[in-house]
Amino acid sequence: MPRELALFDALVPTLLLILIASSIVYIVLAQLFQDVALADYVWHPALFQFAIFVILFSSLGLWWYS
Amino acid sequence: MSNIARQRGIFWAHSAAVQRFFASEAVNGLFVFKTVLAALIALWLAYRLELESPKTAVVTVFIVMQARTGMVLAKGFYRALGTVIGSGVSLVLVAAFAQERVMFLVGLALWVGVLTAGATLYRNFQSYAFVLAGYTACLVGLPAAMDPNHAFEIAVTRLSEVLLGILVAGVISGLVFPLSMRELLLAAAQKRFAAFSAATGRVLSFGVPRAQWGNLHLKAINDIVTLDSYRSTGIFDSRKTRLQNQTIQQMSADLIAAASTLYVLNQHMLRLNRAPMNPVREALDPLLAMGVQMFGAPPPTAEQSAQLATWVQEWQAEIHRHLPKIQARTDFTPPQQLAFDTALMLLMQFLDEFLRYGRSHAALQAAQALPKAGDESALLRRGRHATDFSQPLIAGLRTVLILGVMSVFWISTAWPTGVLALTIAVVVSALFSTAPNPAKAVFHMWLGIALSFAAAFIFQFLVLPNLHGFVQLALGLSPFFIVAAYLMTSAQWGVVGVGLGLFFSTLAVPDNMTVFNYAGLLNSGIGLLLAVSVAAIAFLTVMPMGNQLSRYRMIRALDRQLIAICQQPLAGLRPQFERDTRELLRQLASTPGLAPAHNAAALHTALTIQELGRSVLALRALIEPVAAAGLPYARSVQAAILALARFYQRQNTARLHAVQTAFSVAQTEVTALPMSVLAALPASRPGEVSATRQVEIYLALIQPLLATFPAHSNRTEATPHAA
Repeated sequence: MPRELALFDALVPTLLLILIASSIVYIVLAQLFQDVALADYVWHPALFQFAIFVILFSSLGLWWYS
Repeated sequence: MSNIARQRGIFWAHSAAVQRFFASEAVNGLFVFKTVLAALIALWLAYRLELESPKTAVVTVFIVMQARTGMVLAKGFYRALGTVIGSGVSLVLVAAFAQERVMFLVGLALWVGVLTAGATLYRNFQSYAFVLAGYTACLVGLPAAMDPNHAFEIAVTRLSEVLLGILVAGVISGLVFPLSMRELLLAAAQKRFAAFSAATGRVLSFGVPRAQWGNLHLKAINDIVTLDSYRSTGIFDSRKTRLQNQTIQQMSADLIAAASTLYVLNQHMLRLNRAPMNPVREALDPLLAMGVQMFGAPPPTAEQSAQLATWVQEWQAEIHRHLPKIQARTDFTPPQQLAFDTALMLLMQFLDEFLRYGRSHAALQAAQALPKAGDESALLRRGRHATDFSQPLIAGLRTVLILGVMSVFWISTAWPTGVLALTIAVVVSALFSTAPNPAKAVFHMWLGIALSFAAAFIFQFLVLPNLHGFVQLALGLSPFFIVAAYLMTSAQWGVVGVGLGLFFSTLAVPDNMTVFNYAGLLNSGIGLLLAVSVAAIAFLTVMPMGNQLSRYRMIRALDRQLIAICQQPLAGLRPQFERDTRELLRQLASTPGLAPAHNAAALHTALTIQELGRSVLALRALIEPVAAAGLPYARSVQAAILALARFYQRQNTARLHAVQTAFSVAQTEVTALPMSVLAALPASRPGEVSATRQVEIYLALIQPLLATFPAHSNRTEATPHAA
């Protein structure tokens, strides 16, 4: 898998695109959680959301580079 | 027995004090812990990612770190925004003027000046984003201009370092024992509600003397500003606060509306205290007794606030029940009857507004959505606040001047640390141009830099040579970081702490390639101190705070508000007027250089303008819908309002006489109205004062204000020359 992609002739790390993609997925998920008021059932909402983002980003990244 | 009880009481009081001490110390300790942790993690990551100057990430952590998570995220967000824009502009500047040093500096000066000016128009972290976009262009642009071939890499590196610092600070602040803004916001809202209730109780019993009212008013304005800043940062950390953004703004608008009516009511109550009005007081006192009792004890908790609102509702119903009986009284003289009707009208209006405020406050405390209300809040959302254009102009020009002086010095002496000194002078002057007392803040900054200079020497001479590996470096840096972060928690020495944190990191944190350069450290330290001294001198000499010109311009800005009230279309005028005059008043009163006498005079002027403006607005709202119907007095009232606007455009005795005559003509016409015409204006609600009576009331409220005017009518001419 390529480590860098040429985006409009500029070399961009693929990880950046993965970061953007996982952010989009994360925003959709966060909106979903807000609709069901998940924050009321979770002990540490910020940690929960951060962990979800880390899981998303690292699994996408590992999937791409493996 | 009693002895034991007393001992126990003392013991409990003692333990409460101890608890309070630990509560505040725990928050401070947590802040210190989080700051040092975030700084070290950012440093480690920066080394690991092999960024060019890891110190920038540490510096950013010290800049962004705050006690509450919402503040960190808000500040981080705006810092990121400012840095991105500033870096972009610096690249444009380098691309355009890479060969021309003077043109480059001129372009830089223009950019920084404009953005510093813009920063004074906004508040809190938005203003900070302006400052940052300005000086980041300096921070990135100058090194980039020295080395144009690597300009892009310099900008990217700088950006990565700053974003890394923001990211680490945000994550640590959000994950490690996060403190939400929400309790702070709710406590502040509750405090304001209690203070407002207490003020209401005083107004209803005897009225608050005008001199004391000024202080109450200023405190209220500052509370509202604080609430708004909590709101604007709270939306970053709490879902509930984000959802309630609208409610909080509505509550502030309701509070301001109620407070403005309360002020007019207060002025009227003061007038009722005079002897000729004794029968009116006697008739009013039984009506007011219940209210005085209710508002006498300010509600300490949210539940009691909600309780108070229901009581007020009952009281309102009670008044409505008794109204016909009292209005049937005929033993009043006409002036007494007018005074009585005025009190009643203002009271009913105030209670309505108080209830609306109570409802939105209760909705905030209970985290409920507010039923969709008026369109007033839409106007209050604009982030910019009112000021006179002289303020941003002065701030911008001062920064340009500092940049100019430093550049000339740098170019003509070929000073090796000129770039650093130039940058820091611009940073300091931009950063503190929005501070309430810039000269003092800059002096504290100077102290912080001097301290950090000494600390950096100790660190580099004694500590750094003995360190091996990151763990030892972290242990060696921690004591300095802890002292800086602890100073930052103090209200008095906060700026010194910031200075120590920023510049100790700048001077002492080693780069990826550690070089021991003591001469360089000495040069940098001297350059920093010199730069901050130049900024301090500029703040003290170039149009210092509270100078004659800006005070005069601020009062003129207030005058313009009143002219707008007289002339502009009515829609949305009231919330805008209330917000802008309050903001101007706050700026006038918080100017540190002002002598108390000047301050009192400014306060008096501002209060008069607010009172006049409210009455004129009410008059226009009553008159304009029916002016087309050809009511005989409508035209003379409009003429009087026009005369008032003309008087405020240029104040002199002739115009003052014109206003006074116009208002008394209007008053006579309304009073002389035959009863048949009165029916043309229907009462807005049964049992209330009719619209014509209201016109009469407001005219009567304006007249005493005009009568006291000669005492300061010539201030427009006198002020610029006053000592």
